[in-house]
Amino acid sequence: MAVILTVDDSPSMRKMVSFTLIAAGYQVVEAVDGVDAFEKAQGQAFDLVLTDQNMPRLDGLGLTRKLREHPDFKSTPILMLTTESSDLMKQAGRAAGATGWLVKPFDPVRLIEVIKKVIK
Amino acid sequence: MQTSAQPSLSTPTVALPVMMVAEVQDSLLVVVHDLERLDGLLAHAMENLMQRFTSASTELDAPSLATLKELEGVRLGLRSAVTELQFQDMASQLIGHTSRILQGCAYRLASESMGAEDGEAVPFVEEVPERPNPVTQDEMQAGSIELF
Repeated sequence: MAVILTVDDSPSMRKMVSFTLIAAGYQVVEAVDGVDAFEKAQGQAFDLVLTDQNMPRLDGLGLTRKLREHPDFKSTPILMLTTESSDLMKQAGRAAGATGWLVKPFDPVRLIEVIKKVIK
Repeated sequence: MQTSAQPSLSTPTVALPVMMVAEVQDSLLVVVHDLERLDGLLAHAMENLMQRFTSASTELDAPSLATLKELEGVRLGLRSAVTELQFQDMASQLIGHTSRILQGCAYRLASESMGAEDGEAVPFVEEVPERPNPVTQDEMQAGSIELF
């Protein structure tokens, strides 16, 4: 069973994402921000990271850069799930090493489709 | 009538009564406070809504109901509601950004028009956010997906 790390400072968003992923058969670990996520990544391998962008302490782009420098996460799919929709932010996401950019609100069916596409 | 401090002659200026500036600042901060209350109300409502949503989903997955095809429409409806249930996160971000702008305006208005008196500590001035609001959506339709 694939394990997904979902990162968002909004409790309601974490619940919605977890609900969708668990219903699709994934195991989910939640983190409240980039710092929490990176700490959890030290102790566990994940098949995919799904992260918000605007978070306190360490935002999604910062988390993505840190994970890409980590030997265990160089090729792990990292999807941004954020309200940010500008081309500038998407370019920054691509440059940071993100695998894809999803704009909120997400459709649960489409989210699972894209996750199945990127998790090998 | 006491008016706000005069800036340099090279900058176009408008003289405003200090009392008026103070009243505008107060109004801005009252609005910020009300937005914080609104954010709290939305968060509380969302917490209750999530409990009911999770409870309904769990009950529908009970073994005795899992095979009932008549409930498939209900299950689909609940799954579809996931998109709309993300409203609180977006509303909270919108409110937060708007509040920071209003607060920045209030403090800037005060600091530039009234300054600080001798011996008085310079108050912290909240900067008006330069970045536009990250929430640009007008409707709760699912957002775009782009794989790099």
